Amino acid sequence: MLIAAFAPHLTNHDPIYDQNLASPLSVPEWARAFPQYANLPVNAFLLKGTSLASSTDLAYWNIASTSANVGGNSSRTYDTSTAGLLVRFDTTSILRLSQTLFYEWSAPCRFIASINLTPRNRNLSTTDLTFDIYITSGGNTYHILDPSVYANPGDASEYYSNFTTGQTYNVYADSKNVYVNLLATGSTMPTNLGGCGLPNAIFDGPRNITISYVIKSSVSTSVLISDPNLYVLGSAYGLLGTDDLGRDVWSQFVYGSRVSLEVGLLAAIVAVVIGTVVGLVAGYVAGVTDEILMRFTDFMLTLPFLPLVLIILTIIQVSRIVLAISTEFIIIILIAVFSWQGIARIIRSQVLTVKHRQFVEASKSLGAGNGYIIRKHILPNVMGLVYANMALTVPGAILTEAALTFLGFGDPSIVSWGTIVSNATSSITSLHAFVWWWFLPPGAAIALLSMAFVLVGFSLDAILNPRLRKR
Amino acid sequence: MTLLGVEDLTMHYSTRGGVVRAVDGVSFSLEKGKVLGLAGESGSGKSSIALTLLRLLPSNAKIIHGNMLLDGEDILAIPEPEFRREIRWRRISLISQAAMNSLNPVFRVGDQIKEAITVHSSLPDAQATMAVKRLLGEVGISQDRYSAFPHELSGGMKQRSIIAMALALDPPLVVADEPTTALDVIVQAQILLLLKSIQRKMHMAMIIITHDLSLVAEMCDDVAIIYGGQIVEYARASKIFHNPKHPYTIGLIRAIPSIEGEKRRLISISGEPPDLIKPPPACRFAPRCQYATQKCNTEDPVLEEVEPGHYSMCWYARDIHL
Amino acid sequence: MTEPRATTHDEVIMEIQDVKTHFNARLGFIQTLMGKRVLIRAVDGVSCDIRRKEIFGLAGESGCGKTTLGRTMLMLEEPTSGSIFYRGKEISALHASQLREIRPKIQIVFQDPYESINPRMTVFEIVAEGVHINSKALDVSSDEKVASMVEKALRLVQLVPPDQFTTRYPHELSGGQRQRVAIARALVMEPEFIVADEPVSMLDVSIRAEVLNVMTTLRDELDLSFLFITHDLALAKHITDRLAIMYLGKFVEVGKSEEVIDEPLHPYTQALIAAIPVPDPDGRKVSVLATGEVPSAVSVPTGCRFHPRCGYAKEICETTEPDLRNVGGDHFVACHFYEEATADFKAKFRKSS
Repeated sequence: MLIAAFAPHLTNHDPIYDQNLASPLSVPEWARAFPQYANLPVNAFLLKGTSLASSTDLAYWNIASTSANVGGNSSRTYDTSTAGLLVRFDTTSILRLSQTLFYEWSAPCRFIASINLTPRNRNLSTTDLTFDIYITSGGNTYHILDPSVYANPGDASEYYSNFTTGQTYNVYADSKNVYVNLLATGSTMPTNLGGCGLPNAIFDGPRNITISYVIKSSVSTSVLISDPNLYVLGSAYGLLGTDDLGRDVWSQFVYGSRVSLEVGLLAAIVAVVIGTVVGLVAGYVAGVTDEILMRFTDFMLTLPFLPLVLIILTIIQVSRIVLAISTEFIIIILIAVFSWQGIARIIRSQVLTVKHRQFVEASKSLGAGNGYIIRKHILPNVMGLVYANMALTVPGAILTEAALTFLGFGDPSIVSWGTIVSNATSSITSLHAFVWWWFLPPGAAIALLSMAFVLVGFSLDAILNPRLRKR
Repeated sequence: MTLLGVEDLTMHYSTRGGVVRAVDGVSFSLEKGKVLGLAGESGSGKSSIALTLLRLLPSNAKIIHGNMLLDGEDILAIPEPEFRREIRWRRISLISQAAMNSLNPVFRVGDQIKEAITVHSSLPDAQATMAVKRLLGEVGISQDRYSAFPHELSGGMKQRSIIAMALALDPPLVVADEPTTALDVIVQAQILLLLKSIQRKMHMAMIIITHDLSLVAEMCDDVAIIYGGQIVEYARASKIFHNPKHPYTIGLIRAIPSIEGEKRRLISISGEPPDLIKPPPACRFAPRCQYATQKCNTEDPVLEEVEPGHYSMCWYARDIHL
Repeated sequence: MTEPRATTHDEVIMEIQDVKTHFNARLGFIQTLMGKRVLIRAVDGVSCDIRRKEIFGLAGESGCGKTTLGRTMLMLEEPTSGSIFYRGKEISALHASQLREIRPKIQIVFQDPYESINPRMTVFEIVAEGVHINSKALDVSSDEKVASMVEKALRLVQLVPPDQFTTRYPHELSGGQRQRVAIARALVMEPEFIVADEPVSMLDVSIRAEVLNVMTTLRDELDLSFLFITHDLALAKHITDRLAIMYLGKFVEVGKSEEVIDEPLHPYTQALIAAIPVPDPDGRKVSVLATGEVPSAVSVPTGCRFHPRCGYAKEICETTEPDLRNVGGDHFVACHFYEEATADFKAKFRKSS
């Protein structure tokens, strides 16, 4: 429950929309303690000295230029005051920026190599300036060529052919959509390069890897080069790993706890309120009213829950009758409507017992009206049962909500524990890995929370009963 | 000749609140064919004595010391299986409080009485049935009621069935714990007369445990007044009523209304029964006693013979009177 | 039928005329469907009056209807027929809300001191409950007024000093104290009539007097009237002023308590008295003057209700129910042959006197 309350603080990520935080199906970071997961890469920026701003940074890099004056004279003019490396290209000069690093983990499923370029003195076109990124690993050199250059990496439609001066452009190659043109030297080229194939090939096990950024200019210009990065999407992420879309399971878990609790508690409260009122009226007024109410309760008990609810939910979803009310709210109402009957009976019998106790009769002889008796005598003696029952209804509500969302009837814009389990189960058949971190936590959490409420309910019961018998 | 001799019987219950000293140093004797009344109010320990006599105590009760001699044999010391076989119900039986409520509603009354016989003896079934029918006659129930269920019987008849059960094996001693409570007035008289006639006919010894002093006056030869787990006065019945020698007895007699005699103001005993977990330091009645002195709070009184056959546990027994 | 009316000029507080309270017994489903009805005739035609400053005893065995009569008098049970008057006003004809105005004046104390007070309330709250319910009728507004009323009531029942008791809970009190709290609760509204339903039968003998003496003091000093319901005739003799013996829903004998007990006229009364043991080992022993047991109120015998058990029953007793008649000195009896029965009784039991 604490998790639910502090959800926004516990995680930075929106559980649904923050995707691609790490490789899909990443293992929780702490799981790397286990031997089979030990080598999994975490999200990491692999390169060092990426700011290129000081001589210590530059020490990491191997900078070579051919026939061009990177800087134009023997002392390269590195303008380190601006964050980055200011390079002056002469006509047909090439700048090669490379770094060798030791990659210590097992192969990730995805990586992104990128670098920022800012033209400094004139606008350029893609014929004026070209970029190539090479990675050498395990005897092979991979030419990672991304034909698109986006000003805004998030915007897939932007495709610039011109570079305006002063504007920073982020050039990157994402292994997910990179077109590989392999310059093969050395050993055999891996055949499968789709999906995780390329990253697997490049980063196959702990080894040395060299990345080279090659920038060719056909005109004379000044360009600021900054933030070269090689980012690997880890296969181990966060507290509970990621799901099939790379979403943080922990976030889902945390936000999901809110939803589950909210639904569970609200449904239980509504159910208990309805049940208590019905039980009170039936027990206190008795007679025909009692009969009617009890038969109605019996009738409702005979209605099959799941089929009815599914039908109702389907109708609502299909017809979109009430758009203003969220599905979750409707689920709460539906669960409540099917849960109040048991409580009604218990409360009714308790009311009947208390109603006939002598001190109630004494109150009547003092002139008490019905309202007074209900308020002062019946309710206090009944509230205990109400609390106990509420505690016992919550688990049922949570489980029902989980079941409903599991079956696909939940609100897709809301994550609850049921959603997590549902997603996990639907993807599970197509996966070969045992994604225990994905479906176990919510399942266990549902079970534990239910048990916690049941135990609270039991102990409330135990506290109350002996007292009623005690003189 | 002495049938039952109880010496210094002490029994404690251990409860969550502490050790309840329910029976504390109780001694009395009962001769064959005589009726002893154990009179006391709620919480005095009288029912505990009954349970102890039949060794039907709950698991948290412990007999600390004392002996019970039945015909000279210490029945407290013999092991439970032997007690169950030989003593319980055969030589001592019990009519327990509100026993008519302990008849099993799903079995016929006759069968339940028969069970008392077959469990405690090796009588074959047919003979047992006949014995039951004879018993029903003894207690004034017509024999065709053998196959009746308890709910078909009236309160008085249920109590008679219970009495029949207690008499099933002809025990020389019957302990009756509040045998007439919860019965109507006239039915009480019927049961009383029944008990008296059976007792006389079978020359049975009886211990009647009750809070009703009038009942004691009606039936008993000797009376022991119980207070706070102890016998505070013990004498022949007429002595107890006409010449009581303990402040509690005096208080009781002043408190009970008699159907005969002048209309008078009833007098109560102030205070409440003692807490048997932490009883008063010396005399247990001292906090409520109008005659109490410093001595009563510091020195434990003993049951002394103040007159021949008349015992009282009071320092001032010889000085006080009704 | 003559009613045991007041022949003196004592003020009449409560009066009932031919009150009957019948209940429908719950039958099984099929029998209800078949339209069968079984009537429990708990109170079957009772008339009497209760005067100011009087403890009126109502005695009988269980099932005779005495508790039902007491509750009917207070309109806690709806009478099936007949009228109930409080100070001349017919309260059996009032609406519930009008009745509520009268309620402070006619109160009840129940038998069970453990059940009749709410274990979750303090003594103060219990005693003050009536005041809070009736605050408008009693014209009470301030807390101090309530506190002083509670204190006065506690003093009246000898629970002193009152502030030692106001904060306690029922389980901290003895049975006698609890019962006195119940009386205080009734007293706080300054009633004129209190029905006491077996008020001491669940208390130890030695402490009954403390409650009973409170009642007699209240009668003497506050001019209160009581209906004292009991099954204990010995107790009734010492506490009550007048006494009515009830059997299967009707009065069989009414008169001054000492007269009814010392000189009973009705065979049933005589049987009751003969059945009560005397706290004197050398005194009279019990005898059984009536056969059988009390029949159920569902199947009331024809004619005189007592005739199946009566040693003096003759033909007429089976057919004609005897009226309750004043046979002298405000002593009423409902029996065709009471003179014969009384003569026998005197001979057997009053030899010594």
